[in-house]
Order: sequence, then structure tokens, then C-alpha cells
Amino acid sequence: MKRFKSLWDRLLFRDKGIIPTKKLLLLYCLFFIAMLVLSFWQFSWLFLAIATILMIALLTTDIFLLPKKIEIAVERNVEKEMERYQKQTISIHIHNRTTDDYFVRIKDGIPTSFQTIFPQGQKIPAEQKLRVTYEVFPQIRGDYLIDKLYLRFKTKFGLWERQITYTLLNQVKVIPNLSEAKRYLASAQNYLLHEGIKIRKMRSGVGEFSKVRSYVVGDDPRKINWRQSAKLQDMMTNEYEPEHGKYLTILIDCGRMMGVELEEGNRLEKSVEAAITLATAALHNGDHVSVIAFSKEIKAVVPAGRGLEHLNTILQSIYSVEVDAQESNYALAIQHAQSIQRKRSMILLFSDVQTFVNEDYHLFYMKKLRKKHLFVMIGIEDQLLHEKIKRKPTSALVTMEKSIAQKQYIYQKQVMRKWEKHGLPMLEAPADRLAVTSVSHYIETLNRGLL
Amino acid sequence: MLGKRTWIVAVVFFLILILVSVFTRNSTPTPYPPYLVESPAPTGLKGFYTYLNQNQYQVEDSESLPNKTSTGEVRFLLNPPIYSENSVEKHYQDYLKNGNTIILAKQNPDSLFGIETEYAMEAFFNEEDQTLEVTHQNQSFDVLHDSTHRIVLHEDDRVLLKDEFGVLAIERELGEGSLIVLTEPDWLTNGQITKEQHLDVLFTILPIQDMETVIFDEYGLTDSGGLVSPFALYPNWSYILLVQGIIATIFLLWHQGKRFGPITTVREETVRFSDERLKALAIWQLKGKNYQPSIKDQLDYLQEAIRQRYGIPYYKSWQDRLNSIEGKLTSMSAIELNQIAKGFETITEQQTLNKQEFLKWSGEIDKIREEVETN
Repeated sequence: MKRFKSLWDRLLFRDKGIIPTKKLLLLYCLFFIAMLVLSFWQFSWLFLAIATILMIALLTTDIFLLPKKIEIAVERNVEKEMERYQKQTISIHIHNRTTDDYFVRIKDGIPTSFQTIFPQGQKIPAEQKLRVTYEVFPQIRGDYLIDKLYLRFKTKFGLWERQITYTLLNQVKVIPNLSEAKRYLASAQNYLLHEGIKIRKMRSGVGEFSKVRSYVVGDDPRKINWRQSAKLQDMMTNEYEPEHGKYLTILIDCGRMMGVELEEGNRLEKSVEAAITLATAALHNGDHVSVIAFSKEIKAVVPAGRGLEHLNTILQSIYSVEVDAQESNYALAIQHAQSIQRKRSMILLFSDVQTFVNEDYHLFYMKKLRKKHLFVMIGIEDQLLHEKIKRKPTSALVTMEKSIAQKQYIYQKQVMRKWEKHGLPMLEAPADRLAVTSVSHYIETLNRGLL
Repeated sequence: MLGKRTWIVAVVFFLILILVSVFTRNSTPTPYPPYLVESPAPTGLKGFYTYLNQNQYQVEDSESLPNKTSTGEVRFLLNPPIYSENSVEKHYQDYLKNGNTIILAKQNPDSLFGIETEYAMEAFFNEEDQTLEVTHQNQSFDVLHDSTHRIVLHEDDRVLLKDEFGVLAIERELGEGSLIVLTEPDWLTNGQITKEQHLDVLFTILPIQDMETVIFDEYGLTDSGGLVSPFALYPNWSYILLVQGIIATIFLLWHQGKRFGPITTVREETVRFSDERLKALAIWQLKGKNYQPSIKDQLDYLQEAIRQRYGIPYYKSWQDRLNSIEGKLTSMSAIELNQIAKGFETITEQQTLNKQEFLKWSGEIDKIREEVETN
């Protein structure tokens, strides 16, 4: 029975088998035309049958030159972690154990969200290894399993192709794009260049003592360390910097409204990337960072930790969060944050402003939260709303949409002002500046010693 | 190599095949095409043939075309097909002219040997009466009838048999021979030859007494004789086109139809836009024709925009507000602005607006908004 099953499989072409190529089709068509022309002078069924059989036999001899599965060894090398929107190279090693040269076409069983162009017509010389590489451009975060590798071999005649499928298991994680975090780490000051914020080391009277250094013109004379100056026979001054070891809690909303598509990815993608950048900034600064991702329920929790190694923990626990088709439960998230973060901390919520604007209920428990923590909400500016506001009133529907957008915008501003009055600032930033805005707000808060 | 199991399956398979073929063979009777001389079926001619054979006639059955040079033969053509090749009919005509007799019996002999028939409608409807009275030179016979066609007479035709609807049999002289046409071939068959007065009719109209050599022509009955083989019917190139086309199509489908790579499924539609809520509200408001509140919202926005840009507080009237920014707007004169301000004040007090007013005022508001925001 197994034999029949394999025959059936072969008939259905389950990932293996032989296929005629375009070249064969072309040759056969030429033969076809020759026979057609010949038939105007001479025709006999016997001749037709013999010529056709001979032609087919001639064309099929190429099949016997094709390699077998055991004669070819393949291996795939993939990075275990890939960043979203970052080109990555996947390499495939093909070892030809036969004494013939072959040409190979490759298709890998990668997910459709990995955009790529596969290499075509690579030549593998006899008894040699070939390294074939192709670039992928992952679009969606998450866990993926790359299993099958599809190869099509043809000989130098190239009349037939044999498809061979190898099962090579590779687990790949597509993590959020870390380019902004890397840019921050490379040079924090440059990263915040356009924000005009100085990452201060010193502020008179506040912060903790960091070191003693030589006095330079412009330093506060009140900070001169007289004892050290006397000792070293040189003017020395104390340097202070904002306190380290502050607590930062990042809340990431994964509810319905975060699924809104932007030019690149959706709001959640941008929020996750901003959160990672912010966490990098805070960890780099020596602060404790905890992260909570939530929608209707809590989806991922990372307790407070410090040091840049903690970034990996954060990344591993939130890399695969997805948008849920449900309204977010903010009360639950805030409650959870308070339960894991007993000390005073800065709570940063990445969410959608509109959801807050249209409900008064949130203000109630946010006010309670405000007593202990420093709460900030950051949302992504709605580009469509601004477009609608500025549209020309050409038809009744367009005008109506415009007026509703305007009303919504005015109302949103009012509510944001009201929240700010209660000490709950709400920020809005365009999608591409979300990370910068959140980081600069954090630095500013530290600089002002609010935490 | 082959497992025991495979052998068993193969043997059982063959046994089943043999059994099935045996049973299916035995249950089906031998098929006889009609008007065959060796056919004992009701449609066969075995009776007539055997009778002639036993009465010292020289009887033959032939599956090939007649020999053109022979003379004095009587040839039965029973229900022949219309010959698809002209040469076959020509062959028969030459044979006739050489001094032979052909007895052509066919329900509708139209267009064979230049014979024309007409449709006898009455005979077709005359169904309750199975038997029919036919006459031959004042002699009348009762016969069964099947044919609904009657022969159209030519000048030199001799009528052998006719009824009230037309002519059933004629004799035509051709060269030295003669052609006898009969529209009722069934009278000769085993099933009907002894019914009614068929025998009498046949012996009366057919020259059976004068016959020496009788040939039953089966050229068109048993195989495709008389018809051109479908393998030679069309021009040669069309067969090349057919055969090679089939093979080339198989190659093409094989080439195209095989999957290379993983099975990809269509991505689920999950794209959402941030203005879904806004659109829904707009449609709702438009259905309610809430133009007045909409204008109010737009004015509120303009008020806020002017306040942001020029710091003019909310409590000022539109007249004051627009007056104080008149120098800053380039596209509108002071008089125009004055009129617009008056208009704003009237429409805010109005209870309802129609669509035209709504669009007109929205346009005015937008013009000012654009200038305020871009200046």
C-alpha cells in the first residue's frame, strides 16, 4: 500500500518530480512546425508515429542525467533573530557530489511576509560546493519556522528539471526594528539633535555627585571643591548628574485602535519600536525599566531590571505582541503596573489619544495614579484626521466629514488640556518621530528632576 | 523487491478483472447491425438469403465494391449510407451501365443515384392504420409501412408500386442495366418478410425469377466501407496539428501546472483605518441633514484657528474678529469680509440650512481657514 501511496504522491507532484522546461517546449514546437510543413508534401500515420516517438525518446534522454536527491547535500544558514524592516541575508550551501555540472533554481519555504527575490540559474560545478545567498526583508514581527527548501535542477541541456525538496528546520524570530535604539546608543546627543534637548550632566543643587574635575571657565564657582583644589594646587570642581536608578514603566497598548495602518506597519509596530528605544535610553542611563503589554488582558510583563542586558529580556518578551480586536482594559494595566512597581516611577503609556478623549472614566483612576507615579501618555498623530480637516468642501459628504474631523480635533485638544491640568500630560507625535518624542520627554523629565 | 502483499493484491485484482469480463461477455447478446445476410435477428436478412440460396440461385454476399466489368448480376443495396466519396457512387453507376441490376432499398433514398424524395406527411400521421394498401398495375396488396418518404418521379421512371400518398418503388433504366428503388427495406427482413403480403409484393416487383447471380452488397453496412475513414477525411496537416497539438499541450500543462515553492495562502484582510469612526458619523449626520450643527463646528474650528494665529479671544463677535484680521487676509477685501461676518452671524442664528447654503458657507469658512493657517 505504501508503494501505491508513493506513486500517487508522485502523480500529484508532492514537492518532487520532473518538469519539462521552456527549452523543451520550444524544441518540440519546432519539431511540430517541421512536421506540419512536411505534411503538405507527404503524410503517413506510420511516419508520424515513428517520428513523434523518436523525438520524444530523444528529448527524454535528458531525464536520466538529472541528479538524485542523495547526490546533493544542502544546508541553510539563517540568523536566529531578524529585525523588522531590515535586510537580512540567508545563505544556502549546496554540495554537488556527482561528476556533472548542474544548474539550480531555488525557492525557500520562507513566510510570505519576508519579501525576497530568489536566485535563478546558479551553476553548481561537479563535486563542488556552492554558496547561494538571497536577501529577505521581513515585514511582520513574530515567530516563524522555515522548513522546506525547494530546488530545481537541470543539466547543461536543460530540457527537463528535477524538483527536489529538502526539509531543513530553522526557527526565526522577527524582532522589532532596533535601528533607532542603535542610533541612540551610538550618540545620544546626536539622536536628540532636532529636539534641542541637552542631556545634562549637571544641574546646580540637584542630582548626585559624580566626580571631581578641573575647573574650566564657565563652571559655577559655587561648585568649586576647595579641599581638592588645595590638595592638588589646581582649581577643581565637583560635577553632579541627575540621579540614576529611577524607575520607568512602559505600558504598550495592543488594543483595537492600535491596529490602524500607517505608511509603514501599524501603530503598534511604531509603539513597540519607540518603547524599545525608550527602554534603551533609560537602561543606558542606569535606570530600571519594566514593560507591560496589554489589550483586554495582560499580554506580556517584564519586571523592573537594569543594565543593557535587561533590554534583551524586554525584547524577547514583547517581540511577538500583536494587535487584538478588542478594546483595551486600561484599568487592569494600570493596576498591574502599580502592583509590580511599588516605588515611584514614570509610567509611559503608548496608546491612542482618541480612546482616552471619548471616555471620562479613565481620568478617575489616572488621578489616583498621579498621586504616586508620574504618568505620561504618548499617542501617534492621526494623519488622516489632519488631512480631513484640510480638505476642500467639494461635496456634502466631504464637508460633513471635514466638520466632524474639526469638531473631533477641537474636542481632543480640550480634553488634552483638561488632563494636563490634572498633571497627566498627553503627547502626540507623528509616527516617525514617536521614539524621539518619547525619549526626549523622558530626558527632559530627568533634567528637570521631576522623577 | 515486491512485497508479498503487493503480489496478493495484484492476483486478486486480476481475478476480479477476469470474473467481471466473463460475466459481462455472457450477458450481452451478439450485436448484429441491421440488413446483414447472416443475421438471424428480426432486422437481418438470413431468411430471404437462405430461401434464394436453396432455390438454386447463385447467392453471394460482398463487402467490397463491385467489379465494373461483370454483367447480368443483381445487386441488393440495403440501407446503404450516403457515400462520402463521389468515386464510390460513380463506381456503382458504371457497374449499372454495364448491364447489371441494382436493387436499392432504403427508407429515404434521397440523393443516392440522383433520386429525389418528398415527405409524405399524411403517411406519417396515419398511425392507427398499420397496414396500407399499395397497388402495382391494378393489383393491390396489403403491406406494413415504415417509410414516410415517397419517390419523386422522373420522366423515364417506371412506377412499380404506389399508394394514395405517392410512389414507393420505381424502376429506372441506366445504360444497359436498371436501378430498382424501394422505400421499404424492412419487407425483406426476417421479421417482416412473411407478414401481410410482403412476399407477394416482392416477387411481383423484383425481377427474382430472372435472377441468376444475386449479390448482397454489405459494403456500407459492416464497416466504414463507402464512408471515408476518419483518419483520412481531413487534410493531412490537420492531423499533425491534432496529434502534435495534444502532445505539446500536455507538455505545456506539465510545465506550467507544477507547484514550485510553498503553498501560499491569501493574507487575511486586517487593514484598519483611523477614520472609520469619522466616516460613519459623517454619513449619519448627512442622513439627518444636520447642516446647521456642522456649520457651527466649522465656525468653532475657524474661531480656534484665528485665536491661535492672532490671539483674538472667543467672546468677540464675528464682525469684530474678521474686522481685526482684514489687513492680514490678501484674497478678501474689507467689504467682503464684512458681508461674510454678517452671513456667519445670520447662519448661526438660523434654525435650518439647505444643502446649497451649507456648501456655500463651508466654502467661505474654508477659504478663511486656509489663509489663516498658511499665513
